[in-house]
Amino acid sequence: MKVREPMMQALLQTLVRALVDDPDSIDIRQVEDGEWTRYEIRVAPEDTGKVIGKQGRTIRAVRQLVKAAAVRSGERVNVDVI
Amino acid sequence: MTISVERRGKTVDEALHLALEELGVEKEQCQITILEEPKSGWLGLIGSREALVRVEYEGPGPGVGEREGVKARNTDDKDDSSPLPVPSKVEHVHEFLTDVLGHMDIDASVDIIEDNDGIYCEISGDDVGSLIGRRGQTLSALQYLTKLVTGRHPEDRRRLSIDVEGYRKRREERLRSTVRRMAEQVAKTGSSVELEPMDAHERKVVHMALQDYPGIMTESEGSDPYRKVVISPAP
Repeated sequence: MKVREPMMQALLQTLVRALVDDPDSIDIRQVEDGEWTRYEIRVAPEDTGKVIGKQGRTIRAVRQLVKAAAVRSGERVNVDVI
Repeated sequence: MTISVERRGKTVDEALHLALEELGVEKEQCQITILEEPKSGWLGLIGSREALVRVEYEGPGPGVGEREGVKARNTDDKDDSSPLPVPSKVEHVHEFLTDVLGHMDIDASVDIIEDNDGIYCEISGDDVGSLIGRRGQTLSALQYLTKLVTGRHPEDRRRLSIDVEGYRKRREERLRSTVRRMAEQVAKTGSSVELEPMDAHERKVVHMALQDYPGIMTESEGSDPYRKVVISPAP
């Protein structure tokens, strides 16, 4: 399972990087929370809306892909924009 | 006149060979860009990826339909810093999808077919089930993000669609035959039928499938993501 964790980070990096105007400000942290692994995304303030999307549509799609990637390893993951 | 071809192969050499063969030119006449190095993946099983090479041939060629701008940029460049071609929408789509699949640890290939109306991506592989998701939710998410990320190509307004192992196609065919049966019921009984919520594309499939069906009409009601099609008797 340890093998996969950097991979999840890399997936999130790829997705978020493609969405924002200021990729240098992306900061993704992995937080262990009991059985769950939570990924906290921080971006430049003016990019927050782009990562979340209208009515949260973009971040929902990001979560969907991350969860699909986690399914096979049995990981429980969540993604938050902070 | 620049002709550009991209090919995949197990190794860079193999991909290069395929591309050169396609163009029918020699290596020395072309500009070669290695877009992706091959990856053998973990234990050679997961996350492996073929090499992707772009070969651009700038030559006399057939001569017609020369694109503006392409040639002009070459003049003041030194040997090695040849112009970075602006990626086309199709290249952009391909790169994004390959990146995402690679990081999702999914061993799949991305084939892109294009015509004047659209860009159709077909993802195939042995282990792509998780890419579809329950009721196609993961596939929808992937398509939504790909459209969003590659949306800034004012020169290319063609529609983009992504399918995984023919999932969408099969689902659409099933959808068409289901709604035809429902239309038959509506025409017979004279009472309306409400379908389950669908995304815009699937609603369009339903409207199109029934547009010439006698005795009924279709309408979308409600708002996304719960918007659904209602089949009712024609007034």
